[in-house]
Amino acid sequence: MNRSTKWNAAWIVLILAVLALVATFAFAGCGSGNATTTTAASTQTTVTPTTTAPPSTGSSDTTAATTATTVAAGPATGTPYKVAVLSNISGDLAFLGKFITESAQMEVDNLNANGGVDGHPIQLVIEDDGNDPTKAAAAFTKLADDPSVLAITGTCMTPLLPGLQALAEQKQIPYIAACPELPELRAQNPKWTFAIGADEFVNAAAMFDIVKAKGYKSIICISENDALSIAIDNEFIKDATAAGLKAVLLADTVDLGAVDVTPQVNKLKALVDKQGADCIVSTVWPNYTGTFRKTMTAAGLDLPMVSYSVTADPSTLGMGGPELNGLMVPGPKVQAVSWLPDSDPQKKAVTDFVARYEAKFKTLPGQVAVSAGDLVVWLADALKTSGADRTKLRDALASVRNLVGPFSIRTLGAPGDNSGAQPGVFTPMVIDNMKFVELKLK
Amino acid sequence: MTITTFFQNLIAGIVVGSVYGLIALGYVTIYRCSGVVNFAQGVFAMLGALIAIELVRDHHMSYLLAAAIAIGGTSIVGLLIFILVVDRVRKELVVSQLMATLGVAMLIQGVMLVLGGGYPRTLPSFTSDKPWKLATVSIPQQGVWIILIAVTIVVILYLVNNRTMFGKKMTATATDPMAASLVGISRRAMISWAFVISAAIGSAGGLALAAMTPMNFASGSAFGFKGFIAAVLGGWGKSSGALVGGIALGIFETFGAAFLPSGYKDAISFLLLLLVMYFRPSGLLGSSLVEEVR
Repeated sequence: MNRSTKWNAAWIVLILAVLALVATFAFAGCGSGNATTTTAASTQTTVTPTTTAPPSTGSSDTTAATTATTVAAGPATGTPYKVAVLSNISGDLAFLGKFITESAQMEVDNLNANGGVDGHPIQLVIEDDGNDPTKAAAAFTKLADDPSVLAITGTCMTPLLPGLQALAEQKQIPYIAACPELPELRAQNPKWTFAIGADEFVNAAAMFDIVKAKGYKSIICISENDALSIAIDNEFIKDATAAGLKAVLLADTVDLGAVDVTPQVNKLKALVDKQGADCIVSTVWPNYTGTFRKTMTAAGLDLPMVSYSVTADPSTLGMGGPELNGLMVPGPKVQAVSWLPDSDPQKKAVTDFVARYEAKFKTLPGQVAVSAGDLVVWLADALKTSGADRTKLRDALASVRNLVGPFSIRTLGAPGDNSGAQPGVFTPMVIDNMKFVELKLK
Repeated sequence: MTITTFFQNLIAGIVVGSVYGLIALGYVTIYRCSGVVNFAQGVFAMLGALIAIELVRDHHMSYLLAAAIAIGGTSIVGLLIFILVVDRVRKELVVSQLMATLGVAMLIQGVMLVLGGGYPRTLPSFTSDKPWKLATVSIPQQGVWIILIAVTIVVILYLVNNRTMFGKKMTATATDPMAASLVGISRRAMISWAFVISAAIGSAGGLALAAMTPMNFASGSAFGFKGFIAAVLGGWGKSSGALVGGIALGIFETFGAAFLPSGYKDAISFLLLLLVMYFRPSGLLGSSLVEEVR
């Protein structure tokens, strides 16, 4: 066998092996039902446009975009409004970034198919930030320097926010982060930066409601090594202490990328042994929540756990197993669509979004995906009054009142609040038999 | 630190260190035969884990069958890495070899991101999540499995290397490639086998650990670096050294994280590496290969 023949044979073996590998995963259909394997570009939603149900809390000056955008019939044919989505579609947490891009693309396609923004379609420009601050800054600068781009949206990774907020303020381009704002950045009173996610106050209050209703008295909080997680835990401790409960923060965190969380669990166990606890409140990222609980069990530590809202995502269930059963979490209403009361002002927006998402991705959306739904609602609403002008768009974004989206009812205007996500965006739920089910509280 | 916490940390260190040791064993096995440092070693752990997760969780396959397929599949990938990449660069500069294996690692990670979606996922525990109790100390059942797998693999490797003709051929290739070639041992075939064995060892470690910690396409990098450190700590030349280096690293890390914030774990690993490199460059158990190079 000469060298050429040998290499031909090698290539055949390689191709066969790759095909076998592809077949293994393709056959599985990526069994967790993950959405990230679906190409957003191919989106074509077929959901019938809705025409009714104005928001029950809507004010006269602003109506919900979910309603407004369905008035026009037929596809939008006007000059496109170009909006960039800068998100991590590569890197360690690419699956999260893809929730943003795919969900935003789905909603924009639906919007454009139903008349767009007063006849103008929204054109999404998707850029990858690789969850890397340097790469994100370069991409952001490129987009901001393109005068046809009216706004930049994106990252769900809070560590990227400081750099991107600074650039947005410097370049004077509206920027809507797809995550909660960090407290120290909010304190800078940004003029051009907005955040979709519920802030630490809303998140902490939602967890506190569960803890209080369950009657827990002594709580230990454990955080991810992340400014937002720590801020949520600190707010929770303030809420709990004010209510006369005992709550302390574990003097260690879980790092994204940790191989083993046993040291943290050992510290937790030592603290429980020392001062007692009847509940753990966790802002550990979803991918470590199951592992943390499993490691707790292995260390002989069996305590109820309340986890923060990001955990209420279908992907969490794929990351864990039976150890997740009993985990309580305040989750977005898209996870509660089957038991959401008709009186809920978001009911229609939530139901419609879930129907579109399930039709396309064959799974329920999680918090990150539904945040992108709100993103499109917010942008579409603001573009109606601003047109293709960055400054006017910024002003319009900052002046929404009672805007109903699938994630939140949004009202801006409170000093220092650049999110506007109102309390009540979350509903208590518990994982039971690998499903999120209603958590009935007293 | 109480006695209970001390033992709790010790057990945790041995468990995670056993996985580092298995990956280190892969590095050593390949290096001894070929002189190549295979930076795609961590990828084997990731691949073994992800294939097993897919089969067990989504196809409800039995653990044993899934493990066999995962280890077999990863071994084929290991063989292909040798045939298609390493074999072409093994006579080139060390830098070329390193870049080639790093490139392969990144390629495979990218493919797994596209195929698997990037979700970190775990396997169910082999037996139960309930720990065994020894006085006040909790011993995780999965941890015991991991240690058993590591020890079993080291023992099997020892027996193969010392009691079989195949093992003797591998040892001969590692010790004196020229002499081995002269007596008719194909060095290329032996290196191929080293890649297959290393991939199998790495995947076994990965799927055992996947029952304790979430794994995704990027997990291989973390384990690869820790395995590399463990291999250096143990001394490149000895299989037992790799396991000892891994366990030493695991214990050092875990006790470090017990006194410092856990975020310093990686810094602790590299500090240990620097100390050993400075005071005992041939590794904890010494290495004839390193001595030879010096």
